[in-house]
Amino acid sequence: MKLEMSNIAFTRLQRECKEVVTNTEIAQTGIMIEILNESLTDIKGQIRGPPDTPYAGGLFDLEIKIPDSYPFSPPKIKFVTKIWHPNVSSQTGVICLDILKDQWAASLTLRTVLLSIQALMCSPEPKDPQDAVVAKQYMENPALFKSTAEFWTVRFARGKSGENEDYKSRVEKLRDMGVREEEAISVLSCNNWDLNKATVYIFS
Amino acid sequence: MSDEDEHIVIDIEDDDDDDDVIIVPREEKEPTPMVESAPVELPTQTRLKITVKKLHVTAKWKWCDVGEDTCGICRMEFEATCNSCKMPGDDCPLEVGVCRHAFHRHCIERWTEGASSSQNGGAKNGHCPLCRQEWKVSLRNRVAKKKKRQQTT
Repeated sequence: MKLEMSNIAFTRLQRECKEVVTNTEIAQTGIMIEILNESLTDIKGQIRGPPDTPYAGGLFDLEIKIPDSYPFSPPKIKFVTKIWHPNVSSQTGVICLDILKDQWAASLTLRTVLLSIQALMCSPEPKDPQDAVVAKQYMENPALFKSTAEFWTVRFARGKSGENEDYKSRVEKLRDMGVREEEAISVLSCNNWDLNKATVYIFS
Repeated sequence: MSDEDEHIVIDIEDDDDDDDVIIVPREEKEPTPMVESAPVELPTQTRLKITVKKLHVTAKWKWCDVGEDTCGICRMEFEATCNSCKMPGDDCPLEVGVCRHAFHRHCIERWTEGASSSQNGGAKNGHCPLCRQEWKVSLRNRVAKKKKRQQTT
């Protein structure tokens, strides 16, 4: 096996993986990790959408990349599943969370980081946004934000609650014009579900 | 193999100043002579004659004055050494901060030096990874150790 990371990173991750996989308490909190390669540099994370949030019922996948200098540098984590959240880019999934940047501490683990991301899903920080459009909607029109985030959960995160028929029909109209579903949902969401504005945005 | 080779000799002399290892129990400072002068005849009330030919001595050790049993940085037990060491001891003792959090010396040094943290441009991390208080090595352990020594002498 080619050793791609330092011994400390590898050994620590082995312990961390055991910690997350075997702990039944973790199963109840709704976070999970899956090892994707032998050298433990690529890990898939998964967070169950917390109850009483627009993400409830959804399963959100995350891409976790472990740097060679782990745990002295933070893991690189982003959402793979599309999510409508002020602190996550609706386009790229990049997360704005201080502990993943300058507030990282060597004592943090994948488990505590995933729990922090789950907590961020419960309480967004719109004043420190990653996605300014989502943050603006969150502050100015909370009801619209909630229904949009719920729609995204159903569409992208395998959520099981009923779909908003109104939003669904607008997406279909854009699709009939030849727009990809993902783009249609994204542009409609960014334009507060105004079909005319969305159409103008796409075709101008 | 000579006779002496079979005896286990434990060296627990640790008079280095920077050494934080304390072997428990502390009072038995020189248990070695008994092992060295074998065989030993035991006094007995009967006609039975017992001779101790060989003695296996095992010792248990742990770091003093630290509550938690794993290092928050490498996640290894304190007694199991950090990942870059093979033997516990003087090179990599536990460092206890004024905040009372303890880490392997190599682990906390790498963190405070910010050696490979490209994230903050290699800037130094002056805080404890567990409580974010300013990281300063506590001298309490060494003081306590000296006191103990004075008591025993």
